[in-house]
Order: sequence, then C-alpha cells, then structure tokens
Amino acid sequence: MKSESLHFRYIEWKTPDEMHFTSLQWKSKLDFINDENRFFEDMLKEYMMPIVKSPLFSKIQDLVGQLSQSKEVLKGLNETVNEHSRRLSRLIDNVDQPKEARLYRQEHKRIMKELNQFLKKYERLKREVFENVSLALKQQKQKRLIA
Amino acid sequence: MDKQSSTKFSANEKEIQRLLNENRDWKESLNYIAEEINFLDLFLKADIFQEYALNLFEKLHDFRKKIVEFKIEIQQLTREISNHRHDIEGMRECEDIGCEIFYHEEHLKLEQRLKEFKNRFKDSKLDIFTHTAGYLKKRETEKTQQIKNQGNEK
Repeated sequence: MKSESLHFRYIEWKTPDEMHFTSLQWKSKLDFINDENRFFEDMLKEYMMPIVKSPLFSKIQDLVGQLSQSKEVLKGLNETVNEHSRRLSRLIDNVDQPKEARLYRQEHKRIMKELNQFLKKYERLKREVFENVSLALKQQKQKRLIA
Repeated sequence: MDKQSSTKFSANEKEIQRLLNENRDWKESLNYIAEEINFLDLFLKADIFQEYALNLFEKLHDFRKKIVEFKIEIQQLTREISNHRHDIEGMRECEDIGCEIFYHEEHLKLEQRLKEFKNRFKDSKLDIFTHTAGYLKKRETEKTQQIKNQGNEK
C-alpha cells in the first residue's frame, strides 16, 4: 500500500512556481480523464447496453451511473483546481503574506489528497469497465459463432 | 522486502528504501497500463465498428499496430524495472559515492523513460478515443426492433 505522506513531505518547500506547475499537471490530468470518462460512458450507453442481457445489463447500467457520478466529481475538482491556480497568482502579487501562504500550502496539500483519492477510485472503476466490457464482447462473439 | 518501522535506517539506507518504493510504484503503474493495453487490444479487434466508415479500417489497423508496439515496450520496461530493483538493493554494497551516483543516475534515466512512455501511451489513448467513439455500430434496442417488426407485419 502506498503511503500518502511520502508524496506530501516536500510541500512545505515547494516554490510558488512549482505549485503552479503541479496545478497545471492536475489540470491536464483532469482534462484527459474527462475525455476518457466520456468515451467510456458513451461506449457503454450507446453500444453495450443495447446488446447485453441481464445480469450483465444491470452491471453495465450501474457502471454508467458510476461514470456519470465521476463526471460530476471531475467537474468539482476542475473548479477547485482552477480556483487554486487563480489564488496563486493573487498570492504572488501580494508577496508578504506569510499567513496566506501557509493556508495556500494547506489547500495545495488537501487538493492533492483529494485528487489522489479520486484517481484511485477512478482506476478501480476503469478496471470494472474493462472486465465487464471484455465479458460482453466475448459473449457477443460466442453468440455470433453459434448463430 | 519492507523493513519494520522500528528499524533504524542510516541515511543511505533511507535513500535506498525511497528508491525501492519508487521502483515498486513504477511496477504497479506498468501493471495497470498493461491491463489498459489488453483492453484496448480487445476493443480494437472486436466487431463493434461500422463497416463502411471512411478510412476507419486503416485507422484501426494503425492503432492495433501501435498497441502491439506498446505491448513489446511495456514488457521490456517491466523487465528493466525489475532488474533495476536488484541494482538498488546492490547499492548497499557500494563503497564510494561514485558508485551510488551511478545507480542514482540509472534510476533517474529509467524514471524519465517511464514518464515518456506514459505520455506517449496517453496521447495514443486519446487518439483512439477521438477516432473510434463516433464509429461504433449503431445498435438497435429491443424496443426499436419490435417497432420495426410490427411495421414489417403490416
């Protein structure tokens, strides 16, 4: 099991530039996941749901629900990261704000933790999508061979 | 092998442990990517795409070729990461700083390669999503089929 504290120990030393760079990386990651999430959701809704039968149907339906929930979480995370980036530029403009800087670092740490939790959950969800779609494709192939 | 938390580490030992942890994370992330590659392989080979979409056949062919290349590359990287783990453990035998620096540099080089591999794989995935999503066969639901059948009976 990964120890999360390992990822956080350098935050106190991160320069504003480094935090800005990290925020950009977060944004890029979230943008990518957004596209990927939409792809899986469309694939399940448009293609898989009409071809599978129960009990796989209810599993796929459940996965569609989970993907649409994760889309909402993504939206929220995106807004949080955008606001965090905007606050950094304000912080740089008002240089001597030690208290604000400390709070900012705490927020950085919190977002990082939130993002890591989301990524782990999303990875698990993707694994389930892989398993169930693979199963549906195999069933479809068998059906075609029998027909 | 993870040491117990009560064990006192020397600075060098701590550094070795850090490198070993990173190495383990790399291996985990490659395992996950290998699962993604297998899924994409299955997805691209499945009979789920429209048959007469312009250039789709060529695109699918190119994507499959890339997936095969990624498969080979990930095997190679996994092997190297596994070998590198033995190198890190071997750092304990280092007698001078030059030896440690050498292994550190190897570690950084491998990290860089992994990053570059992940970026390329991410770009390819995005390419696949963009170019295949719109070409899935349109499936008829049971309801639309019923309506069609009723129309034929009339």
